[in-house]
Amino acid sequence: MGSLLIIIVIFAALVGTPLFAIIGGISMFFFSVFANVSISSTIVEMCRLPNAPGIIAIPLFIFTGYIFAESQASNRLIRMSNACLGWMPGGLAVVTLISCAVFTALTGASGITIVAIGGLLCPALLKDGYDQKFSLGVITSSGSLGLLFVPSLPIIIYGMIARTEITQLFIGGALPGILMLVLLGIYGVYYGIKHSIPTSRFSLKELGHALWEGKWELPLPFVIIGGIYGGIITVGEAASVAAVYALVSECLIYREIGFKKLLNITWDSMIMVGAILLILGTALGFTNFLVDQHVPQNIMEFIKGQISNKYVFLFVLNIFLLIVGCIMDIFSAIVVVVPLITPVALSYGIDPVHLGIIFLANLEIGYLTPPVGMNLFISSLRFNLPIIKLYKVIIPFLLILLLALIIITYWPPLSLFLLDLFNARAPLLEM
Amino acid sequence: MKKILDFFDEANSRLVTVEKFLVAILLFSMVFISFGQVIARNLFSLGFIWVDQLLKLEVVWVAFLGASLASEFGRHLCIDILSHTMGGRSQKFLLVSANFMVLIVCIFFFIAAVNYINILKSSSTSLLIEGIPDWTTKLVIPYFFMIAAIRAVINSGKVIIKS
Repeated sequence: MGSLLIIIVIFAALVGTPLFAIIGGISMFFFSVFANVSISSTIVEMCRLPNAPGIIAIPLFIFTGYIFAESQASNRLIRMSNACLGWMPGGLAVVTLISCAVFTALTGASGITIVAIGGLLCPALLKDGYDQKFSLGVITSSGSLGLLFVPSLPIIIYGMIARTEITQLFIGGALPGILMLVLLGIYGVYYGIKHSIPTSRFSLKELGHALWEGKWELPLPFVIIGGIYGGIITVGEAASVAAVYALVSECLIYREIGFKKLLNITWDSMIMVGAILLILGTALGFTNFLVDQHVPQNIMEFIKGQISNKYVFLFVLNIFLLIVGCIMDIFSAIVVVVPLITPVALSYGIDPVHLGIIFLANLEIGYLTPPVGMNLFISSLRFNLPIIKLYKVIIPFLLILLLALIIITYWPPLSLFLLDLFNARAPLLEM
Repeated sequence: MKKILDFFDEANSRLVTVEKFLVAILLFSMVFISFGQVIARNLFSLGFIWVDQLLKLEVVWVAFLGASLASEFGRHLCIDILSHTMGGRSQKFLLVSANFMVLIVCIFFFIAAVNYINILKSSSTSLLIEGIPDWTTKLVIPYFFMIAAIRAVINSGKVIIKS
């Protein structure tokens, strides 16, 4: 029966069955066959979903992200970044990286960055003299770059599933996120110098204009980051502040979103909320079944029997997560893999926040990893190019991000330094 | 067959309008109630427990109504490795197979949800918010699974009729 179930699940996944049906189906089957309890248990578990900490942040941050994606915020963001950094060698490449990182963080890493910002910046990069290979590479790789920054949705969901404090994950993710940004930025500068890409002259006047134009959006990241890091507001409260702020600035002040557009944004964003929360709801039942049946413990014992060294384990974990990241979207990957991996990783003495950052950094890179990384598909669709071409252009960027991943994995202070500085580090969980 | 499908399609599109309306009302009330809570807590040191309960309830309703709309517009998250590479008849086979899987799972989930509501109805006397019985707040769950199953049938029907 086990083999038949595996075949059905693989078939269902391959034909594109929604994940909620796969996870929910497995969960219901396991509950009734192995645990011998009523199938209503899966619904009981689902009803526990609203009790998860920070749950309200999910619909509100997604709504905020959609508002920004539909307004002209991306143009203003690009203009501000360009006015600040356009003068340096490889300036536009760096501008692309920073704009995409900020936009990805604000819009919840839903793959919208490549469509919204990439479409604007790719022609600009080509016009400035960057070749097509580099331009596509920088845009595709920066499409998920803000994943470790506040208020990234994958961090919130990871925190909920792994039961790790979300604020600590946000603090822990800041420096690793900056590391990835800086390493790719250095490559951009190197490329700019090597190919003698012309730079624009720094203009204080243009900077002033750009900042003035974006004056209503500029304070938002500071309000959210300052509020969360400063312990003034919770993540859920930050989400409601961000939603009201976005509504007021984009609909009432800039007047770029009319009532009809706002309604479309509402429906679009809530469809995404429904899709994500439904998977979370069904996964809660699945996770609890696994815990009840001691599956994570069994996996832990098996792995500990094979690998005794923490560093070897981390290496294997990275390879595994990169594969997961390139075949599953980030939300599904978090929901399915985190409950199985977390107890094993913690038993090796890995800090829960450090583990979260490793996990998310891997999935971020998985987005770019051939053959089926999500960003490769989005770029291929957006720029009408065969995906094989993108496999080639992404290699240097992938190697740089893998270097960042090695540093993030094997140098825990990078993820934990700020927590120590803010005195916000949780005691290591005892297994 | 086509007439029956058209009838369900028409009824379904009206239901989509109602769902969209409810989702918009729920989202905006969530935004403003939660913002009001932030202001009340941080500026006036006031907090209301019922607000938290109401927001949690709204999250559940928004989630399931949003999921219902995701079923209508084919926006559920899935591991769509093959659909990127296949086209024509193979693509149709994938769509019908995926919808069949959804139909089976949703029927079981619908039965489970109805059982759960019945258990709540017979045993629960607690009221979440004054005057509202606890079980009524969970009605959106069986509703979603019923609608998702119906939409899976309609979607498959459309694919089959087109081919």
